[in-house]
Amino acid sequence: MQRISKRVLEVVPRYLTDLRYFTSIPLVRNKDVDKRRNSVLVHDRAALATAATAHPLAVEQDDPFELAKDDLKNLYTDIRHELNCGQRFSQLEDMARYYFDGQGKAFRPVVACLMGRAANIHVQGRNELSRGQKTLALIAEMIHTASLLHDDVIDESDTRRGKPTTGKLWGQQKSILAGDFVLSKSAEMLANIGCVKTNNYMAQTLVDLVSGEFMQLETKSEFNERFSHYIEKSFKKTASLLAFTCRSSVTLAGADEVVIDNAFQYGRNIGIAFQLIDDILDFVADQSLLGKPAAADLKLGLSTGPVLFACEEFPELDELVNRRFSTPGDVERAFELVQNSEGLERTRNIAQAYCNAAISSIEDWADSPHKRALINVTDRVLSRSK
Amino acid sequence: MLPALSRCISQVNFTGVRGLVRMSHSLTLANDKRLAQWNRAISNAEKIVGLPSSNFTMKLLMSDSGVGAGSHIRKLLNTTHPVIKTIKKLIYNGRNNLQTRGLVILLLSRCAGHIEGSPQMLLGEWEEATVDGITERQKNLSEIVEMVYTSHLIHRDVLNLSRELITDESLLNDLQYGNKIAILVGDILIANASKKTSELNNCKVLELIASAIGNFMKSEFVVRHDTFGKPFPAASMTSSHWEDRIVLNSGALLSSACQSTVLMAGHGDSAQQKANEFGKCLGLVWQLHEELQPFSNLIYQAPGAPFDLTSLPCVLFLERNPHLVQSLETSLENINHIDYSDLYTQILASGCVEEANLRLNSYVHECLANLDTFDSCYKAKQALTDIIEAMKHV
Repeated sequence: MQRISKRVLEVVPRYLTDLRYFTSIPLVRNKDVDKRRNSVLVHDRAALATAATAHPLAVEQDDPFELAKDDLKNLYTDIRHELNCGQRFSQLEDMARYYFDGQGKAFRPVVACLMGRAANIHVQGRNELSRGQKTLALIAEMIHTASLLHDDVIDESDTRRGKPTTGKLWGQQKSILAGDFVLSKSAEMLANIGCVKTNNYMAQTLVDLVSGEFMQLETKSEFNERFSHYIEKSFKKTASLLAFTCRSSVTLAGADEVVIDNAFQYGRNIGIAFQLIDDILDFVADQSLLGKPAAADLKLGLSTGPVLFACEEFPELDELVNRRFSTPGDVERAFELVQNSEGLERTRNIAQAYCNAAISSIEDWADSPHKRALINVTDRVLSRSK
Repeated sequence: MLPALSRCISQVNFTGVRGLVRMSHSLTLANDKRLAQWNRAISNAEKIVGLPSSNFTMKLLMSDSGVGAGSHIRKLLNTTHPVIKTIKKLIYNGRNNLQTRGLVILLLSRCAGHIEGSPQMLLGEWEEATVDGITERQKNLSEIVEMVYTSHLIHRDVLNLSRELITDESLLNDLQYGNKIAILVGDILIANASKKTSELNNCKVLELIASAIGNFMKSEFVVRHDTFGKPFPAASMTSSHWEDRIVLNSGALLSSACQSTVLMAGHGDSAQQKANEFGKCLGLVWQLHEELQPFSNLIYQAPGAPFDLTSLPCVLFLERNPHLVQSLETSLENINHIDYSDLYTQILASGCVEEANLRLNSYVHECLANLDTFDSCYKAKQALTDIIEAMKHV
């Protein structure tokens, strides 16, 4: 029995088996998947709606952002309050608060709040969010923003969300220190929740974030190696924060190991899907929506999913990937080849697979509007345009 | 543009790690004596608390595998980015000496001893303490202190770069790469320090260390910076502003760590408060001792070489001579206009160095007074006292 499954593994390309390991669902690399995608989701929703006898709510009431709205109405005010440093440090305060201007998507806090409530309902039968869980939502957004402060200097970016970066306004050195400051405040808030397990989880995301950044500096030469490197990097740079925030929130709900792992898997899968879609959006022609220039990743020398897939169709891309698009004209050429390839579609299919895995990781949980909203989050991830 | 830049870079270094290793550069007899006193105190202390059990920081920085930054740092070695000097010093210090901030934490842990049966101590820690005098968690804490301190030094080396400031394309590229690595290396240290702190399984300790990191950052925002990011005195900077800043800077980390180590040994509020004060004073002693080096060790200070304009002797001098602040003000945009040689001579003649020395001695006194009640280990206390006395002005 074991021998057979081993042989099967040998036939399937390695990145697919890696993915199966991550998601434990079969992957379809068929072009039709995209067309079927909607019907699959409709079917899932229909199935869920029939299962939802306890709380028969219409689908539109399970809008993730609507459901989390009450818990997050003071998100930015609360964060800005935590970053209060007094008159003497008004510049530091301005810098630390700069990106908490209400313009962000607040994707992480939304997931954190929904996850907290869904878990509380599942574990304790209570629809409420504890103070610690709410603080976690703030912490997730703060860690994310602290990493943006550093990333913008590393990537030499001048604009973010349509406004000048902190580095452009106040210089690179202070941007780094302000990022460290936001991080230190989030660690203080974490300590105040008073749960040593949560401290450990959230600290791990910091280690993951920087390892992901280092992985980005490397280029692997072989396709399978490149692809698993890319997925691992996406986990560390994006999904880890979501995964550990979910794990922490559910830990605070007093859940058992199985439920805690469900939450972790949900966060991991949705996080990787989120990053895959982000990488697709880098190739979207109309960039006015995004507030950042097109092909930003290529310009940084980064080969994301769409490029890696396009390499299979256009072997000439290989060389460009290896030299990190450093020769003049490389970025434009790669951009064009990706557009002419199935790279974008195939990346989307994989994102879909990760979303399905996210859904199946919490399928055994007690039904609730929040659980359904978590399921709908996957749809938002796949359809987002900015 | 180029000479200006290299000059600025040397200045950034100057205010960067002013490691005690610099003392070895001195040639005078008096300094030889002081150096010998220092080295004796350190090696004696190392004998008492033992050498570091792991070399985690070095592994993070030098290894090529995992998140190791080794290969990236090696690529940087030929550039002029100031972070290279910081890292080189760190490596030199790290291999030859147990880093001294961590050493102080270990010594204090021994001096304070442990409270048997305290709920703050974890299972099996009392045994560790009886065998070793120090628990594993306290050893880890001493390493965390070094990691946090180093990450801050490295992040402070990040340069403000722009095409307008540096016209040479290849130099700009080198420095930008240096910035990138400085940010990431600092991030590795701070992330792993956070992870290690959370593994101490004590929320109060995490809070203390986190707030120390926050204060470290605040300290950089109370002084102004010139175009390259080097500290520059504010127009109204007084010696009490200086003290505030140092308390936030070297003071906060040491006070948090000293409090944490006695907390983890099971001591109550009043002992924690004493340890906190001890750490704060020690931070002031340390910083002022280093700031006085260019003024008390004449051979070490090259004529006309730039020095830290926010160091206490200079701040005291500017406080007495407000008209000079005005003329410095005009140099903020172009620090090449500052006549360091003239300023240096004036400071030496003003008596401000002596005043700063008196201040140093009073900090030493206060520091030792807070150590008074911790006497679980005579040898450790003697060693700690010797280290502090070695920084005193004689």
